Amino acid sequence: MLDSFVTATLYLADGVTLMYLMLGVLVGLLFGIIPGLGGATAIALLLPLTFGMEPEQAITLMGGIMGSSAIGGSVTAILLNAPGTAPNAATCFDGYPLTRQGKAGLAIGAAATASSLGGIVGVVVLVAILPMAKSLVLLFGPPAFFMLAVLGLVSLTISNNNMLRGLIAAALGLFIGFVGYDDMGGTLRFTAGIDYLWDGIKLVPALIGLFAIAEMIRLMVEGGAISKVDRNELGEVKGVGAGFKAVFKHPRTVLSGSFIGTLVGIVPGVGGTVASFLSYSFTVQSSRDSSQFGKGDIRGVIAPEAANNAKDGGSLIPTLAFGIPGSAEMALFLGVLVLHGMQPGPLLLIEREWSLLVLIIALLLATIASACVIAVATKYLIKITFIDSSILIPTVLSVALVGAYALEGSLGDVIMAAVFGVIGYVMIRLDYPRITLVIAIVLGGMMERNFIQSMLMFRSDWTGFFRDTTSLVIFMIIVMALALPVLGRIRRRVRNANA
Amino acid sequence: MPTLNSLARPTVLISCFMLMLAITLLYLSQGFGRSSGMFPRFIGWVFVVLTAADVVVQLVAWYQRKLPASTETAITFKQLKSMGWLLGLVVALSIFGFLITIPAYIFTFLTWRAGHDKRRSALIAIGALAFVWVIFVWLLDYELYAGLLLNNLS
Repeated sequence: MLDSFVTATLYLADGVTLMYLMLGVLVGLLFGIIPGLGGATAIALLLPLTFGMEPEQAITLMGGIMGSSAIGGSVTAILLNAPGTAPNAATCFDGYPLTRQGKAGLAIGAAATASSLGGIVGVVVLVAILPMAKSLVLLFGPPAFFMLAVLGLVSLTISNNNMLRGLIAAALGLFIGFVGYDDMGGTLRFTAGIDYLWDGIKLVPALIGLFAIAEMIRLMVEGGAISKVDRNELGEVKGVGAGFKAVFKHPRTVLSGSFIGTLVGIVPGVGGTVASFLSYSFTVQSSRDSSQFGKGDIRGVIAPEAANNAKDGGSLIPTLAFGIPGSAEMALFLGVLVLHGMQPGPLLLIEREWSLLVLIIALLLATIASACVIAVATKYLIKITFIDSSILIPTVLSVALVGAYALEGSLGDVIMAAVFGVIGYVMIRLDYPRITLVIAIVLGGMMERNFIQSMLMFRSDWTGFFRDTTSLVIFMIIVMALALPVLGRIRRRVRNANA
Repeated sequence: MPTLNSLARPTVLISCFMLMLAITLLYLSQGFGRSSGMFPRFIGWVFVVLTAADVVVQLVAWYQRKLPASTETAITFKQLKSMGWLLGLVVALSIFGFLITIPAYIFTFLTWRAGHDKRRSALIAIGALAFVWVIFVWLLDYELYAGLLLNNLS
């Protein structure tokens, strides 16, 4: 491990690699600041640019984006009451009242520092758990891996408002994954006689379409400036240093937020929004004096921001160890790994340990670098949200389609990206979660392989899944995960009826 | 009494469409061999059950007049126009290639749809083209598609 750590550190000390890291940080911050775009869109757009890079350079670039987009989102949450990404919504509760009191700098300084510290805690936990995960993963057989993938998809749908539509999106995603030539059975599936589809639906054009293009269609329909807030309402950013100090006056809030974020991140699909809201409500409930929360209590900024950035370290554990992404960003990151010939899972942990350490150190450096950039350049960065979206739309659409084409020089990929753009937009409008669809596409191959291997092991007797102890335990967790929200809803309805 | 027109709201229609899609995919899965069809058939049954449940939920919600606001989604002319702009870009790319289409598309979009002045639109269009050329052609050494027209001429 130490050898790998040294190799990774030396690799990152190289000027070109550092340049990629800083590029990732800047892009992540910009996309994080722009409400509605976020890190997933940034990764989708930059993915094609990584083709010519070394795998570790691509990992560094993506680490830069992942480590910074969450911090970027906090800036608009504090200054404009418009969270850049969904997990930053909890920061609005106290961040915006602080801005109204003329303490925007204090809130931004605190958010940036808490995010960095949260990111550091998340990474430390990741480093501590990965060696254990390595031995744990080796105990998993095909039935357990299949059940784990099902758990990943199910837990994603639970965090969604419409659980049924989440599950439908997952099933649709699996079918999209079936398209093409099946290596195991030697059959063409769902190609409709189109030669282009023999190789299956390519991940990169699909991701570009679902995230970058779909968001641009949404902006085109909604119109206007990206920020819906009046430019004159923008507060002055002063006293960032005081925010930095304020975080160290509340170490308990930072630590509790960071640990909640890391733990929530480990569970696939639950994501940053749950982490930050959970951390916020925990801080409110555990505080002796909670009267100022919602009116501009600095702890209300620290807690969600620490949790939001800490979850990245946690969510890398299922992504790297089991190949099960916990969020849209992680699904896209898996796409980057696969594109560069790395198959996530136990072998990756053993064979490419130093590459993973490059990612971990890059994440760490990105959180610190982005906090510094935010502290210095917030008042300039925030101006991007007042750009008219009509300038952004044709530019991003053009670059996205060039990126889709660049993958294999195929016009079919351009058409595929556009088709998925429309699908993505329809999904946004009709409340079908795109993230579940993407993760199902990513997991489809792995799920089918493990399902068939399991059925061969059990001689086509599906009850074998319940005779395998690990698989049975995961199945019971799936049943509980599906049943608990339904039971909670029934209980609430009964209580309301009685009242 | 519900009229056919009020029943035909996009959210219910989409649920019915998804159910039909699930049934079609399950039917197609029956034609694959044992190994290739095993998992699609399994997922196909799950898909049919889920989409059927969604149709029931949507119909019940509609009868109780409790459809959530987010699903009250009519397909507007604005949405179709937005998708038309995307379709236009893809068609133009396939005919004229990237290096001609990108500046022309951005310029047209900014002047015609967004109402920006021509000078500003031209500057943004040239800037975007320069960005694409520097990153993809100069730095990454990709050959961008020249379009059907130029390919046929050469």
